[in-house]
Amino acid sequence: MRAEGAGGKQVCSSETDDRDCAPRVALGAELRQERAVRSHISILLAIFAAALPAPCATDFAKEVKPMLDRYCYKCHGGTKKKGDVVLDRFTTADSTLKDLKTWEAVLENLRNGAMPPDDEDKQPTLAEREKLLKWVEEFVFATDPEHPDPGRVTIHRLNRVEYSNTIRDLVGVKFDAGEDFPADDSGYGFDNIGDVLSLSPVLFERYLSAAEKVMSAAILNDHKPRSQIIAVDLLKITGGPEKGNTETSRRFDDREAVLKLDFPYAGDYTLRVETRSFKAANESPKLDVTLDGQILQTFVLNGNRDTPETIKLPLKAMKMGAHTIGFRVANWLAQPEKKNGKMLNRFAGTQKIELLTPPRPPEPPETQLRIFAPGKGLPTLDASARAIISTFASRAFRRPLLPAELARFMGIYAVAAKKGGNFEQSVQTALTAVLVSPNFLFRGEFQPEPDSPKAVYRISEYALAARLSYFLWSTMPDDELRGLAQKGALRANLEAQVRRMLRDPRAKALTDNFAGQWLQIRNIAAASPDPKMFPEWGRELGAAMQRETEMLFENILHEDRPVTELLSADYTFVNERLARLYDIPGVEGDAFVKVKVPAMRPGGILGHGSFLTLTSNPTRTSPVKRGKYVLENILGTPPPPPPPNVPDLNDPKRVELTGTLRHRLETHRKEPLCAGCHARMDDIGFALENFNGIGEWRDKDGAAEIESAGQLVSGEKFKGPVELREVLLTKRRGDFLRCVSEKMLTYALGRGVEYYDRPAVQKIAANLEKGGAKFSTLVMEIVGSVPFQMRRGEGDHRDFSNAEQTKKKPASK
Amino acid sequence: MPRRTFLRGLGACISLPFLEAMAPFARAALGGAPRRMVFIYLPNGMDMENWTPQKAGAGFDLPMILQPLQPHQQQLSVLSGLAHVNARPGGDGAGDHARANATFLTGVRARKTAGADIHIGVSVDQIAAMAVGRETRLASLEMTCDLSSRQAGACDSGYACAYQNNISWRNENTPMPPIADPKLIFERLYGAAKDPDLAAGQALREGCRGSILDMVREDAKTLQRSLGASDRRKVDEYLTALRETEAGIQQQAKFQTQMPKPADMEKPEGIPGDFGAHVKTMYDLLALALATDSTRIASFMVLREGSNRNYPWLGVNDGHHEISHHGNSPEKKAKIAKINQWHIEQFAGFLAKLKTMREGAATVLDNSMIVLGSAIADGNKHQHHDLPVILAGGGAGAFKPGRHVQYPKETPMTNLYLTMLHHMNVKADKIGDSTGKLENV
Repeated sequence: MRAEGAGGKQVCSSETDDRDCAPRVALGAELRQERAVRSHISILLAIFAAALPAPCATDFAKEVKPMLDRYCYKCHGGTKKKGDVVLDRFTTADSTLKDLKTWEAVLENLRNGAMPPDDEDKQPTLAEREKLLKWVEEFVFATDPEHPDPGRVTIHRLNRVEYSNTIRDLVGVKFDAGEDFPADDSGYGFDNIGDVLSLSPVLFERYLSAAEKVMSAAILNDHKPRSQIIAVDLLKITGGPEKGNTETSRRFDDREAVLKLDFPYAGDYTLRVETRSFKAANESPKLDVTLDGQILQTFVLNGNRDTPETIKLPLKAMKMGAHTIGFRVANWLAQPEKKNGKMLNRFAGTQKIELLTPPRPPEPPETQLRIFAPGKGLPTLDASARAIISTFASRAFRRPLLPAELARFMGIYAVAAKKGGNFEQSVQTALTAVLVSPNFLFRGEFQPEPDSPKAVYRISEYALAARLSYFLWSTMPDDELRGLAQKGALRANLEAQVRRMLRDPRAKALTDNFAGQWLQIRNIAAASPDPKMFPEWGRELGAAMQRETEMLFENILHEDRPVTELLSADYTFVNERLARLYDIPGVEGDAFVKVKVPAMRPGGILGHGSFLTLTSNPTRTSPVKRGKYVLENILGTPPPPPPPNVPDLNDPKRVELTGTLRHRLETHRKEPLCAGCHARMDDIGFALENFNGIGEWRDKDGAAEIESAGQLVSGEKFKGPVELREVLLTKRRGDFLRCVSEKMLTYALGRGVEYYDRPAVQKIAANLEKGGAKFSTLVMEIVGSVPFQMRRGEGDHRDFSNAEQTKKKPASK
Repeated sequence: MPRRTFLRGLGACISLPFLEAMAPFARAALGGAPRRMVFIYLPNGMDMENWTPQKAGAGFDLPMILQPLQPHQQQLSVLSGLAHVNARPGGDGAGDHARANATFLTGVRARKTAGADIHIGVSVDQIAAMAVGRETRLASLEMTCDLSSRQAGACDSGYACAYQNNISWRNENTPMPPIADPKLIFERLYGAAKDPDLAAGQALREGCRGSILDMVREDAKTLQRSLGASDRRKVDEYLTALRETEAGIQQQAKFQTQMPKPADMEKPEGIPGDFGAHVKTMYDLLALALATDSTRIASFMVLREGSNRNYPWLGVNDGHHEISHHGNSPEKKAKIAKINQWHIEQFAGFLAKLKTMREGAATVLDNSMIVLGSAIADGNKHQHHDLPVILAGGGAGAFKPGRHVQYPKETPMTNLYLTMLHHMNVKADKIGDSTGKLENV
């Protein structure tokens, strides 16, 4: 237990380092809890970051208790015990540690603003609320940075993107799960959260049919001989008329048009020619077809210009190799003399020529050759099947196959064979089963003591390879990662591997799925600005905006630039459409070029059409949404949710509805209930009011001048977007680095970041700062972090910390 | 018949004889006409002044929003006074939209979580599906026209998006995700089109499905042994879905002979770009599913709660959610009423279709219990009582439609569900906050 006499007072050495605020707490074994605190660090960080320079040392008796007295005891003290919650029984700081269940509820209610209820007259100020929260968080629910809790990740069902990518890399078949599967739910802002990804019966049905479809494309279903159709490129025809031909049509006249064709093997072929013709002088055109210079057949065409017909020419007993086929219209000239200076002739032409080969057993597709390679040269079919299935399944499961698992798949192989399947079909059936196995559909990590929060261990190299590849590529590990894991050499080569992975084209997934969701640029496709107000708006402009932000992110990734360039870049990427919106001269066409950002626009995402559009309502800007976006996604300090009973913004009975949007919002902020949070959001949005609802520059909002001055709650003043950006980049740089660390950690782990992850997030952010904020540093720090490298069994964090403390405890004196 | 026109013009003259031909078995089931239950959700509440009829009982007036229902007034009742108290904050703070969505069919308070421990109750449609779903090829059907579940970012005030993306829940943690793509719905109903590449080996594949499912079930059980509690729950989900699929395959075989031939129909090509066309196609498919007795239980979340879609073709260029906080501005309220009326018009089209689908002397509409509503009344203040609710169809004689019924204030909406379950021959004592069956329906 903590030192006697401290009375909950903590000593704080620095204002910025939260870790030093945390007391070293050992909890009694009796303090077991049923469920983990549903704590979310971002909200807490929000509160810390936004707190006025509050001293982090808070005295329970002098500061906490009086607040509880003032705001809580009325209902939760003395004889009152609303909701069975009594708070005045906690007389010392330490006494709180004996009933964490109650404090969980306190934490939750403080955070979501539910307590004290709105109808209570006495309401804590924002600063008081935050001070109390900070104390509960750091004292009652303390973490020990020396012995961090790695937490645990719930088994992940592959989401739609991961499924498609994995099928591509495992089987070599293109499959779009986005079209075939129901949408995935998301949590914590991302759609790769294990806890949230559920598996409904509909989805299972789709998994089964997808597996069948994919394996049918990858492996031949039968050996029935079939003809191949070779489409002829009409541009290869020589001779004949020079005029009137296109890429997709060819005319014939009395000069022979010649086609040279390769016949891949000997046998009976058929030539199919789709023709169009019209008659003259009451006679249809006659088409002579020659083979190697000999007339083979003459076709009398239908001569009806509206009805194409297909003529079929059998080519019997052909030898392998090149042959020439000629076409000419035998009766082309209808009348030898010119009439009115023109000759009268018959017309014949074609749009399509196809060569049908003799029926042959089909060639196995390239995917089959690759999948079947491990079975080559083995003495028996069963041995081949075993090798093929075992190689495929262990790649699919992202780990070596267990003997019992292989036996089960061999069982399916045998069932298929017994039902009359040939070798390929039987293997195909077993591999279909692999694609419906939970070991493929879920990314799981075997655990020695899955239900013990005390069992902490480093994840296996195979699990690490899978975490890495789904984090950076949204797909399965490749051969190199798997090879290293097999040798147990992945950790030793981690940095080189991460750098290699970031250079790989598959790292595009990080832009699409991480940046696309973090910065919400995926949502641009669904934006619907009012077409009357924004006639420039269109799907293509939206796509260009999305691409601009993606390219900025890609540029930072590829060139290993500082992540702060997301805000500070003085360059951007535009095509003609977007350049016109931004008033950048000299850009033409659909291709994107790198340009310098005009002086009045802030560089980076704050000046991007994507951000400015997706934070607007269809008919107007929303300073609140823009401010909220910056707080949530740039600073990582989201405002608390609004109280449940929001007074009307423009109820005519309450306030006079006049002036600009800013004036109306400022009136709203006079409501004490709203003031605290809106002070945080609105000013940031006001600074961006020079950008209209689709990000175009404006000097006026209607008739009113834009007033773009404001300040952060922490006091930094700014006017206009460029100054806002400067404040964020200089004064709030630490917040930004912590925010990007936390967002990427959430995505990398596929779980919400919990309060016990605080030390990990802080370490990542601190090292990121030291490393010049480079993109690769960020990724390396995440990959090397405790929650990424380790895990523990399931259970409560406090059971984990209890175990750690016991280990640490010196022998009793 | 040109099938391409089929889905577009379902319910008009062309489809009548066709559907009659397609649904001969529907009447045969259960010894009489089967009852169906359908739940339709509309977001952001309604402009209640233009919703609630002045008069109670039969011959009630139709306010502006309900005007499109005039031809069907005798086949539906407006139910006033119902409430969803578990959608209220109740100490959980903001997040009325997520709660409304989550509570609508469950009557249960959603646990506030951004994802780690989602918890809500089983929804009424799934209670029914588990009990009587085996009588049709599909136990239930879930649909939506909302595409925002594909969007990035957090959802309502700290609630996981699952609460907002789904109204149908299989159990406390597993939603039944609604399908937005008409092509996928069509495939669920009538199977995928015959893919020539799959023709070879099809018999073998179908013959091996059972063995594959048996095998992966073993895989799942082995896997569970090395996992913690939450992971085991996920694998349980897998096992449940597997069982359902297995049963589905058996159902498919059982109903094979009665299945309308997919070759007879034009498969929709994907999600129409035009929202109106999308909604209409989905209602068409829903009507088709009911008429062919492919399922008797369906839920259709037209849009999810908090939808900020605009309706430029109605002259409403602002986002719906944005203006639903109207602050009593007459201009905004007028726009909301227009949006509401538009949705009711689409619904009226659906009812009209069901009316043309004859089942002996009655119609599919007569034999259905269709609830349309929202778990928010006035969007401005997120009220969760006096909800806008319509009960359409006669429930095969179970109901007395054609009335405006005023229930005592705060009557749980779930009481209505309990009544409906009773008429579906499903035993249930309680759903969420229900206090007993709703009388005088």
